[in-house]
This record gives sequence, C-alpha cells and structure tokens, in this order.
Amino acid sequence: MESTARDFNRNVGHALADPNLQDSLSKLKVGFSERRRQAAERLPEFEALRDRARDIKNHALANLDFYLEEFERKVLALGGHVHWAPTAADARRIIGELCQSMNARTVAKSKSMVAEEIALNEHLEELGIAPIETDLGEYIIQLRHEPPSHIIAPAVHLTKDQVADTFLEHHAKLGFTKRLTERNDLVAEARHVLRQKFLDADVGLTGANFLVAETGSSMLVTNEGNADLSNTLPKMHIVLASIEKVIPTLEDAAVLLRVLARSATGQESSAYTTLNTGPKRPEDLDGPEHYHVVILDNGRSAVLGTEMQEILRCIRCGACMNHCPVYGAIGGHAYGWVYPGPLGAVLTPQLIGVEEAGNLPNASTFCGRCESVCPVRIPLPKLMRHWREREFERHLTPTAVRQGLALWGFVARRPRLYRRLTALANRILALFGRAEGRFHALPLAGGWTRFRDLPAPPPGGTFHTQWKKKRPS
Amino acid sequence: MSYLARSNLAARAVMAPSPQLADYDWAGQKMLSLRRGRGEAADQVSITGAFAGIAETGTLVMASGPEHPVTLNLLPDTHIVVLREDDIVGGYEDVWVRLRQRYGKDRMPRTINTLTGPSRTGDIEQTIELGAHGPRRMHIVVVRA
Repeated sequence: MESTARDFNRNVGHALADPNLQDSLSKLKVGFSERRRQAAERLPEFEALRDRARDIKNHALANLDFYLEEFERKVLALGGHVHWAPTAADARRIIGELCQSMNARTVAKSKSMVAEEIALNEHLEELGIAPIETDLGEYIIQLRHEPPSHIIAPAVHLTKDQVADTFLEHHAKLGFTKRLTERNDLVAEARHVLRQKFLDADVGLTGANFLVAETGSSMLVTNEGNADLSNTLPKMHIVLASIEKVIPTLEDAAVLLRVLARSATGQESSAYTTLNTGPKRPEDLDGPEHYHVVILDNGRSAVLGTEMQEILRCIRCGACMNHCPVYGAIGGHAYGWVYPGPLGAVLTPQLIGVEEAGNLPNASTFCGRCESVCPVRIPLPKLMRHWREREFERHLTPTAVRQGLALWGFVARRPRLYRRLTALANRILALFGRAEGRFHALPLAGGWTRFRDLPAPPPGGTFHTQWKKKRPS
Repeated sequence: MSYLARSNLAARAVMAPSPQLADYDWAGQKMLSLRRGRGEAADQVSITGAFAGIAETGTLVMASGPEHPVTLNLLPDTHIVVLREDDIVGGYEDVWVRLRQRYGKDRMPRTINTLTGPSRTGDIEQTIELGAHGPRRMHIVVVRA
C-alpha cells in the first residue's frame, strides 16, 4: 500500500470535514471501548492475564529463532511448506508463484493486515489473478477501492447508507437491483454473492493471529467464518504471517485468546477460532491438498534487541485505536498507511521510515489510554516519544517547530523571565477576552480556533501566581 | 426431527460419517432423510458430533478427520451438534491435553475449529448481525454418555 503518511496534516483536514466519517467515529467511542470495559470487569483475573500475555510474548521474542525453526520443522513433517520472505517484494513474489502453480484465476482472501502491508492485491491483479476479500468489511472497502481504516473493523468509517449504495452499484449486474436499507439484508446479500466465490476459488489465503511452534499450527480468529471457508474449500491454503506471530505452545495461545477477544470487541470469545496444521490428510473428505506458510520479516528483525522491541508484542486487537482521542477524531485513513492509531504511530515509522511517517508519533496527546488498555502492556506513549526524539535528532522536525521549541527552551530555563512573560501574556489575553470570555480567533493559534474557541484566562493570574498565593507556607 | 418441521425446514440433513452418531436410532425417524459425507453447497442442515465442549466460553471444539469433514461445520444454514456430556471440559487447556492424548503432539488433525455460537459480523456500523458466512443457526444437543 502506498503511504500518504507524509501528508498527515492534509489528511486530517479532510477527515475532520467529512460528515459521514465523523458520524461513524462518534459510534466508535461508545461501541468497542464500552464493550471492552464491561468484558474486562466481568473477568476478575483480566489484569493478571495481561501480565501473562506480556510475558509469553516477551519470551517468544527473546527466543524467536528457536520457535520459528521449531514451527517450520512441524509444518514440514506434516507435508506443509514454509517460505521465508525477508521483504514485502519477496512475499509478493512467493505468493504470486504459488497461485500461478495452481493456474489460479481467483483467490479467496480472509482479512490480513500483513497482506495490506505487502500490497498483495495489487500484485495479484497485475498477474491477472483476482483477489476476493471475504471478510464483510474488507469486501465492502474492496468494492469501494478504499484501504481499511481499522485493523479489526476495516469499514468502520462507513455508514449503513454508504454500504447500501456500494452494494446497489456493484451487485445490480448480479441481479440485486433493490437498494437495501436493513443491515441484516445487506449481510445476507453479501453472503449470497461471496458463497459462490468461495466455491469457485482456486486458492485460499489467510493471515494468522498466532503460529504455534509446538504443533506447527497457524491459529486464526474470526467472527464470520470466512477464514474457515477460505482454508477449507480451495485446493491450496496459503497462510501469510509475520515473524513475531510465533508463540511456543497451545497453552500460551489460550492465554492470548482470553485477552485478545475481550480487548478487541468485548467478546469473551470470537465465534471462530481455528487451528490449521498442514494439508488435507489422505483419509480426509475435504480440505486443501496444498498448505503453504509464508513468513514475512519486512524490517521486524531489525527491531529485536532495540528499545522498540516491545511493539512486536502487539496482537493486533485494535484496543489502542478504539481508545485513542486522536484516532476518534480523524479515523484510520488519515494515518496514511496500513496500521492506524497508536499502533501505527509506533510501527509505521519503523516499517517505512521516520522520514515518511514522522508526523504520526506527533499525533498524540500522550494521554496514555492506549497503554492502559493494551492487552500485552506495550508502553505506546514511550515508544512514540522515542520516535519524536529520533525525528528531532535527524533534523526532520519542521523549522517553525524547531525554532518554537528552541525559543520555549530558552525562556523555560530562565524562570524569572518565564514568569514575567507568562504573566504579561496572561494579562493581555484576559484583557482582550474579558467581554466574551473566549476567543474565536487568535494569531498563531488558527489550528485550534478553526474548530473551537479558546477560553480566556480565568481571573487570578497565571498558575504560578495562584500557586504562590494558595500554597500553605 | 420435530425441530426441522417446526422451523419449516426440509426433513433432509447431511450427517458426519462417525460411528458415535451411527449408534443413535435414526431409522426411527421415518421422515428424516439422511446423507452421510462431506458438506456440499446445497446442504441446508448438518448433524455432527464434537470433540469437546468448553464450559468457560460455551465453545464447541471440532477435530477434522474422515469422521468429521470440516465443510459440515461451515456450509449449511443450520448446524446441529450432538455433544456428549462427558466431553464438556472447563477451558481450552483441558482440550489441548485431550488433543495430545488422542492425536499426539506431532499429528494434530488438519483443522481444529472452535465454534462459539453462530457466524456473526459487526462490520456494518458495529452492530452484530448473525449468519455472515457460516451457519445462521446452531443447536447443541447434549447427550448423557
């Protein structure tokens, strides 16, 4: 996927001015986050499980080579194949060749963020192979030629009416000429259209939530069952996963599943959790004859052993974005690449460079809600701060910001000057804002006042003055 | 059988070819036409056993094999599951122990499906709708062993 992270500020402008997006985002704040809170409260050991989940992933990352090799050994022993892809281009080539070896015309795809990361669909289309997204949200945005805006709810930025228009436009040629208005009718129509595509597909491609080293199994969680149809009906099943998905045992998977579903959607369990281990056995009545696992690095191994390693614990639940005030205001597309929200603000600079994505770690209020809900306790604000430092060190910060910070630094290191200047500014603002108690516009603060008023300072002087007066001596 | 009639469904089902299911008295249900095998696109109702049930989350565990084709869990609109009471365990960990006992660590079945209720999606406006891709209805018949 081509990045527009560099144009973050422009993307934000579009997002704030989009009424459909703002309507959808307002539902996000009460939807996922409230359901997660209730699910966490219903499970008394939830906090302890988060600690265990963190420890499991830390252990796996510390012994990543061992567990990846163990996983490979088990897959091979059962007649499957493992392909190592150092870069996105390698993964695209391997998957393209596998599809061509089946003379594939269509590929049934179950939602995979790694597939978005390597821009797989574009590559398959160039080879004359049609990728068919089968997760309902992914299917909707594929019809609309849009990228996903959320890692677990790719079409969360759309309203029901927009979906209805999209279906009418694309399904009319299949005989569905009535514009639907009910959600269940939209789901039923998509089910009908996609069922035939599952039956016709030559290859099924899925991601993986976990790779279990002990048994050589890929584990995948969905609610729709689309991944299961993808991995059972076509003749070939390809699993695409990145290196950090490997975990040691099935017991570890059980712990991670308990925090994953609750953190993601507030469910105690997703409807479908599936373990795939190798191809169809000779005596089986169904299943794919060929089973391939493509394991992608794409810059992740360079993070091992650095202070950024903690981001590799991520299990892609989406809780950080569901709870982020910035994501809640601008949605996922504004982040300009595959991974939005606090996760994207940390991961995107790592994967595509801080030069391209330096804006993202700056799009944070550092309120800390992401860290407080992360099921594997990733210190996301700390990692964003790390990127800000790298950006500053490499002189990528805009000149105006550097000069502003330098000026502020100069004044802040001289407390008497600082107090005099702030007291003066406070008096001027209070004087001009006295009549209305707020400002509709202020020089140098247009970014703020374009969307809301700035309150005039309350009487009583600056914080320093008030503190001095009220502090018990 | 009476469920199928009440729900206005054809008295036709595809059943997993498992000896456990064969032990029940199906012939007594004269109106019910049964086919044994894998699931096909036209199947409306499937009947399968289950490897285990998980009490913690109300989850069924299905292990693939010649006695339990995976398509039966996915293609039909209605999935009827016969679960032996003895096979209900506490959590996932208990299932893993049973799986290793039955198959050995190195010979897991091709697919373990764990199913928690019917297929669903929240992809339109975060509102749950049932029957996205898999069965819209799931019934679990718990039998005393």
